Amino acid sequence: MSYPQPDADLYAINGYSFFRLNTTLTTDGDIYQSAQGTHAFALGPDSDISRVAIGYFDKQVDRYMDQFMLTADRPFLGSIAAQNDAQYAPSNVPGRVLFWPDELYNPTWRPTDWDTAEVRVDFVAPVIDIIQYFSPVPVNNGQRNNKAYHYDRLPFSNTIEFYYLVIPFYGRRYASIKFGNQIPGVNISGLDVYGLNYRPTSNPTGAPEDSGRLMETVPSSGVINSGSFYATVIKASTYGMFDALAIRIIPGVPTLSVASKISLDIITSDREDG
Amino acid sequence: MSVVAFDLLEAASLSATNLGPLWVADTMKTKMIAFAAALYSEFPESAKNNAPIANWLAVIGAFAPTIQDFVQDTQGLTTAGVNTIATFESSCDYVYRICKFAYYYTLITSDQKDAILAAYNAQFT
Repeated sequence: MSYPQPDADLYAINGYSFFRLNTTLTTDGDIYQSAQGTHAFALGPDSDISRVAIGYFDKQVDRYMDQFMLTADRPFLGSIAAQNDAQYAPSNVPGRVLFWPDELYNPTWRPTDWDTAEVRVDFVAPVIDIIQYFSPVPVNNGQRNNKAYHYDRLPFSNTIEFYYLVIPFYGRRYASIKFGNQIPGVNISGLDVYGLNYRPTSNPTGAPEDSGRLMETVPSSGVINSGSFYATVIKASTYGMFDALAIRIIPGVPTLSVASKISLDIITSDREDG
Repeated sequence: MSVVAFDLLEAASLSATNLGPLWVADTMKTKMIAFAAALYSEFPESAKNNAPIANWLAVIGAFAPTIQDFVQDTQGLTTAGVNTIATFESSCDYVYRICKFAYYYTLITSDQKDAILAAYNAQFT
C-alpha cells in the first residue's frame, strides 16, 4: 500500500463497527498499526496473505509486547486494549496494536531459465485484508473467499520464449487452472505449473534461482492445439503448500502478440474440493 | 563469514548469512539489542512517517532479549537452548523485514535509511 496507512481512529470516530485494512502489499516488510482497541480480529474475505502476526500491549509480559498469529483458519475473539498512553520497552513506542504479514513476497524472484530478452514474469501482488472489530460481534467464519483470475490476453511478443504468471497461493489448498488456445491455426507448445516458496535469502538483483516444484505439465503429451482447452487441478494433499503458483506458458511460435487469443482462468481456494 | 551490505535490499537478503555466525558465537542477542538501540532516536514519535520503522524497532526491541543461546537442546527443558533455532529464524525474519521495508519506504529520509544500514553493518558484519 502507499503509506501513510488508513487511520483506524477515523473509522471509530465515524461510527463504523470495524476497521478494515485491505490493500496490496508493497513489500513483505510492510507493518501496520491501530491505536484503537478491538473485540476481535479476523482475516478479511479477500486476503491472499493467510498468516498475519499481531503484536499488542500486555502489561504482564516482558517488555509489554505479546503476539499471536491470525490465520485463515479462525478469527481471534477477545478484547485487546490499545494502550497508547503506555509504551513498549525498551523502544518507548506507544502501545498501539501492530500487525504485519508473516509470509514472504518476493517479486524479484526469477526462474532458472531467466533471460531478460526472452522471458517475462508478471506478478499478481498479494492482498492483505484484516478486519478489526470495535464492538462485540459474533465472528463465526474466518474463511477466505475463493480467488478467481481471468485473462483474455497475455503480454506475449515475438521475443518471448517463456512467459510466467505468478499468483498468490498462501495457505491455499486447491487451484483450478484452465488454458485456452483460440488462435486460429497456431498450436501452443505447453504450460507448466510450479509451486514457489519464497525465501528471505532471495537474490535481490533478480538473478535466477530455484524454480520451485514442477507440479503439472499440460499437456503431458505434446502441444496445445488451436481451438483446444486444457485444464488441470492442483491440490495440497498431492503437492504440498506454497506461497505462490508460477504458471509457465511456452508459446513455441514467434508470431504471438498481446492480441493473440489466449485465455487463462485460475481459481484458488482454501478448500480442497474447491 | 559475514558480508557487508551496500544497500538495505542487500542487507535484507543477507540477514541469515550475517546473523548465522553471530548465532553460533552466542553474540546475536547482544547485537540485535544494540541494532535496535542504535536506531530508536532516529525514528522519534514526533514524526508520523517514522511510525512503520519505529513499529519494527518496537518488535525487535521487545523480542531481542528472548534470543536463546546456540547450545543444542537435547534435554527438552534446558533453559539455554530451548527454541534456539526458532529465535534465530525470528531474528533473521525481523531484520529482513525492517531492511526490506526501509529500502522501499519513501517517507523517511536518505539519512535515516543510511542510519539503518550503518547500524546493520556495525552490528551484523
